[in-house]
Amino acid sequence: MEAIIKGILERELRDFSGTRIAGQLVLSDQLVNEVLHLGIKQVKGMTSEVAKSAQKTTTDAPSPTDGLDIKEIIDRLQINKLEYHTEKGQTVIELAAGLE
Amino acid sequence: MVDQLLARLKTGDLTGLQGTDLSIEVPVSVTLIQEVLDNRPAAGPLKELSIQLLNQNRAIISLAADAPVLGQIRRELSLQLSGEYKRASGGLIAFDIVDGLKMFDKPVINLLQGQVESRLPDGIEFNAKRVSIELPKLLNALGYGYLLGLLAGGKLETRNNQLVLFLHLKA
Repeated sequence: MEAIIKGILERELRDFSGTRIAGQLVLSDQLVNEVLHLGIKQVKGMTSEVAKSAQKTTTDAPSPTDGLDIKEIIDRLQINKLEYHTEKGQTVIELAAGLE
Repeated sequence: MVDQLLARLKTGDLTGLQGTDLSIEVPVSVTLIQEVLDNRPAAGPLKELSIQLLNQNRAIISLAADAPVLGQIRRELSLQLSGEYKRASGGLIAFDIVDGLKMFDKPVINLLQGQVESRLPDGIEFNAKRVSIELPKLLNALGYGYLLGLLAGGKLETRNNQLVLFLHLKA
């Protein structure tokens, strides 16, 4: 699996050239609130983990082949449309994007 | 925020997404598919396996396999892709073997079926007539079962050197 991901990265995601995504993502206010609270909980957890491991001297840098990095994908994404608006009780994100 | 949203979706709870409607098209190169095929465990009856993807939903599989009694056989199978999955009606996506099997191959392939199938994820079935994909089962087997509530439709197409996955996500 590692070799396959390495190959995908070496070919700069050209294996997926022509990928398209289009449409709208709708998030209710309740869902956005849940996600916000989940985020805060995780940040608090991370803060205490950082405090616990502050004395550790070794760090294991993640291998670039551990998995496909979402930032790598976003870097190569051509975004033709990305519009955000709110409607009563919900958030709407309209998007059209792809990989050339 | 994206991580938290994904974490919430992975619980299988899709409430709060009503109105979402996304069309996704993902071509996958034959280079990558061949790498995945080459990455299969060395043990097993299939000794060589390569694929060509052609326009109009056609594909050619070249294989060499150790068959009981006959020894090693080599075949070039022509496949025709058809079918799609729809949330309302279900449905299978299938590669039908339309040419390349010889008169006595079907029993041989049936014999190999168990050994090959046990290496495939749940949701992909293989016999002497076709390779069929049951999308909901396959998504579950691959760990994406939480997306099933969003999956309104899915199909595959082939183009020259590409297998194209189409997904329609709707809540």
